[in-house]
Amino acid sequence: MRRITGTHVYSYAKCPRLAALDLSLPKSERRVWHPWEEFAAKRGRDFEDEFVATLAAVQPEYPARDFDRGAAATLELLKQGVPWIHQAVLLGDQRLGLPDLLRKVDGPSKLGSHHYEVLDVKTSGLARGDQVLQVMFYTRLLAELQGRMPERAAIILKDGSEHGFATADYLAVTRDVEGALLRLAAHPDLARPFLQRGCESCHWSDHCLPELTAKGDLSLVAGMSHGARAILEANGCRTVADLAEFSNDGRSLSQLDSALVRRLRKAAQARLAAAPTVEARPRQKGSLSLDRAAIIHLLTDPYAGRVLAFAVQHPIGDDNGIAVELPASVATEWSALKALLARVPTGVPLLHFDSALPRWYEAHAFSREADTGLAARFVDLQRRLRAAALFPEPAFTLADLVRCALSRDPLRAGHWGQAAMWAAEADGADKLVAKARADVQDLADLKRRVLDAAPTPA
Amino acid sequence: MRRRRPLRRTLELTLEQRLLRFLAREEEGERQTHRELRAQPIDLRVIDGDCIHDARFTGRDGSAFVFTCSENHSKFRTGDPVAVGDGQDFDAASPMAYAAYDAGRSELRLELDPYNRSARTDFVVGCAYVVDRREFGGRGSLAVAVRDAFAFPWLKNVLEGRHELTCDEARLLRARSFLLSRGLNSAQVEAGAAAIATESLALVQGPPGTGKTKLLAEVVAALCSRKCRIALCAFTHNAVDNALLAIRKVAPELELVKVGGNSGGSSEARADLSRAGVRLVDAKRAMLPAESVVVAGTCYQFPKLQEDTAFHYTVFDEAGQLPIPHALPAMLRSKRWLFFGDHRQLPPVVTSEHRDREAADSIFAHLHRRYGGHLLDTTYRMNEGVCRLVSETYYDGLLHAAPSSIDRRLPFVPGGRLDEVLDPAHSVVWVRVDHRQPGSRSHEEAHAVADVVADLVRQHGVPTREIAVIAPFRAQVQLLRAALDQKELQNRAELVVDTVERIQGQEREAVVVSLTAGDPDEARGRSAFHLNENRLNVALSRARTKVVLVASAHSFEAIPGDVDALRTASRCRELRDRLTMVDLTKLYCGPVA
Repeated sequence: MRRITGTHVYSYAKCPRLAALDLSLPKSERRVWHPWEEFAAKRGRDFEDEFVATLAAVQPEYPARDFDRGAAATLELLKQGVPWIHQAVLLGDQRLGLPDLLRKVDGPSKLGSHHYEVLDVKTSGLARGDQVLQVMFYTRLLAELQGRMPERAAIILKDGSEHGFATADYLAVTRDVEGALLRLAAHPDLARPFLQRGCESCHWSDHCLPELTAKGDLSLVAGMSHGARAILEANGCRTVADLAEFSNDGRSLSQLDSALVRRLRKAAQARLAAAPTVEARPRQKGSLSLDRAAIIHLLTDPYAGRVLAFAVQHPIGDDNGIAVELPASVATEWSALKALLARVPTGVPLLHFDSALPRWYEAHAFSREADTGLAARFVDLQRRLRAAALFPEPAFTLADLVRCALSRDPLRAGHWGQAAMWAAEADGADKLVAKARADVQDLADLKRRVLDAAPTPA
Repeated sequence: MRRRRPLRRTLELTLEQRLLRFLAREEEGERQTHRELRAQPIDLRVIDGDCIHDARFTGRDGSAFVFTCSENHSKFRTGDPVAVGDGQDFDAASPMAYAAYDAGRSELRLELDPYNRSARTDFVVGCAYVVDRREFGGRGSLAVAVRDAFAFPWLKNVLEGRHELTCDEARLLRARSFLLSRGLNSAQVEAGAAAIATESLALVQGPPGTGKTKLLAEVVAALCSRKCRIALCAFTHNAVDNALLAIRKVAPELELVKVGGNSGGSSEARADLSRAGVRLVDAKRAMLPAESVVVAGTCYQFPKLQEDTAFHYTVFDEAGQLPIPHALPAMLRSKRWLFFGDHRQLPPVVTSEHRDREAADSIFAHLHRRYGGHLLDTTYRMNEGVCRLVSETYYDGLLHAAPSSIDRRLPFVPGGRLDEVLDPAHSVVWVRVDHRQPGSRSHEEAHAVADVVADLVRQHGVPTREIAVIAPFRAQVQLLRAALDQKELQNRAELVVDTVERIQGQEREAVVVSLTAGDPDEARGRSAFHLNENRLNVALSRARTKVVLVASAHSFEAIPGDVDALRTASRCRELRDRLTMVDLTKLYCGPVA
């Protein structure tokens, strides 16, 4: 049986099936990484190296992949009490941990008058739950070794700051996750696939997605949850085709709400018809009307915390009405947006996709110009689209929506993940402009074909 | 190197700016919620609990407009503003107020909106209508109070944590001996004396059943006996009224005034206050005595008082529920502030998500982080078993049961169907019902809860008035009420079935909690709410002798992406591991478990 590592913990938090396949299948069967994924990973490694270089950390020496020797060398360093240990090897029953850093702190342990705590270097701006779990996995291994649970652990964020936390706060969930992983290592089949956000970019997507499609799995239906799938299956409704023809009312389905059953059934029908079903919705009048709205879109480099491109289209649908600004730095982002918004009449609703724009705005508006009125004009097109229609597949991203509602290649001008790479290339500006324009055209077409369309006849 | 995680851009902002941003986001969030609601198809609104579909008008019954509808999964409460129409044209819909729903008879009752009595009500008998949520409107702005508070250097320093606490030593000694003579315990005496002697502010943290409101009453009475003019402020009418009635018990002759009291709160509560001799006045026209008086009101009433109205002290009750900006209008009226609350119980209600969580904190939590407080450490409510769980889980083991309550046991007559669950040897029991219901309702849990309550009443003789049933979601509360109605219990009306917000401040012999969420996906998304430590603390600590937690194991499986929500989920798993578990999955769930 393969050893459980911190990566498996990280994966389990995303998807148990991902962890199960990582544990049971050879790496060679995984999807090959795209260049932009390599680019992002390299930035992470470079950041870690840069950070560690400031610490004079000692690294245990051992032959490649000989983790037993690595663990022994680590134990030696722990006993010596060196201030920092880089890439320690922590071994436990069926578990292997390779934390980025161990830091010496005062307080007795089996090692002497000192002990260690775990730090892991990440490239995100805010700490996440899966990262905390990974650090806690290392912490528990370290605690077994030094005979003492360190009180604290930390994640180093991309700006070099430390997100510290009390280990006691996360022990119970870490124990449960480790237990679940040990069960999965022994019985990988316990984890069934379920189509969810992130499946598209998963390295096992070539494995799970065909399996789901072949079985007509209920998770292929927009709006399905694990619980609803379990209840439907227990009631004999096992495939998309079953659900599309399901005629009983909600009460026979273990009392699932009838409105939910109706909606899932319509979504299953949309999948079989391979076209969105537009729903009847309240009439939008006056200030709620989106007839005069503008589209606003941005491409970002999450690692650098930067907006690489802002794009605006007004009126919607007019390709000549698209304008793009490429801010040269964080300092010019606000003025770039203001310049674009000057083209849009005051008070016009601003259709954006997902939460990127409101998040950016919240971070900037109060520290620069308190234009609070602008936020009142934001309308999330993604949320409106999801309310307006039942799509033939669960649409988690703009690319999903474009593919299933417009039958168009959403990546014809490149993947959004490439934007950070382009920013470093000589002709990157042209690519950024092309991508921003393509996205805006997609958003405009989605509005026209879904939001502005008449309801699909029953 | 050891730096605390910054909210990077937040650090660039002053506290004043952060509070203004909090208010702006709250206002915008509420507006957007209603705007988006009006863009959704009916089924989605029904699923979200914001709509009742297919309500057929049957006629009028007195002031009520009566409809029949077979399904009502809405989150509506009595008094909530609703719009009745075709579900497509909100502007043409009639503004009404939600009154009641009788699940047994599928009968929905609406009433005229008291603020819009001229609404069209020409409903046609037999026609189907859609009942939708409607905006409250008229939300006041607290931004002015924030700006005023930060223009006032003394208050600005206090809020920013740069104030040094001082007290009058002579007053401290006098207050100690006075409070001792009132029969208070040592922690109460220390906390009360510190409050009376402070030259600026004092915080008293009162965990459940520790006599926080009684101490508040003693402190207020002591200050008024020295001719002080006191402002008393809380977030809800209920909290204001409770504090006033507690003061009346301690000081029968003291002048008590409630501003805004002639319109706010329920009519029963207004009658109770009148009987207790509390004068109910309009805030704008109130003529207030200069000394020896308590002027009470919710946080929204204090801006309405005449501009030069000032007090010797402002006393806050349930300050753990009061957002920082909401406390400021009352704080601006004095230079000494006494905060009674508990930041481990219900947090402030916020409508938007705030990344700057400290700005969304309560005034009590905000000041407690900076100045600390006095903990009341003895509970007169919970027995040993309930207290130990609550103390270890939420108060670092610092809370103790008083000798008078430590050995209290639930009445128990062996031979019932659920003896294993109701055995008083186990004060806190987890009834495991492994359903996977998505949404905010679980029939499985509702049936289990109804059986537990029926056994408590019929087999063990616990009066219905001594039982509370609590759920995190209003939709589940509706389902629980319907399931309990079917049991046809005597004095059913005395049984409290509600959300945790509605039951804070109350206590019962036995409490049954339905955790509801069983779909791991839902649990993940909602864990910050339904597994929230403060809410669970309040739910569990209402009980004197017995807590029955009915929950699916899947409720605890969530692994949220947010670090704070993950911590909450982890602490809940710890709580789960401390409970005595009785697995009744086979009894209440079908093949889905």
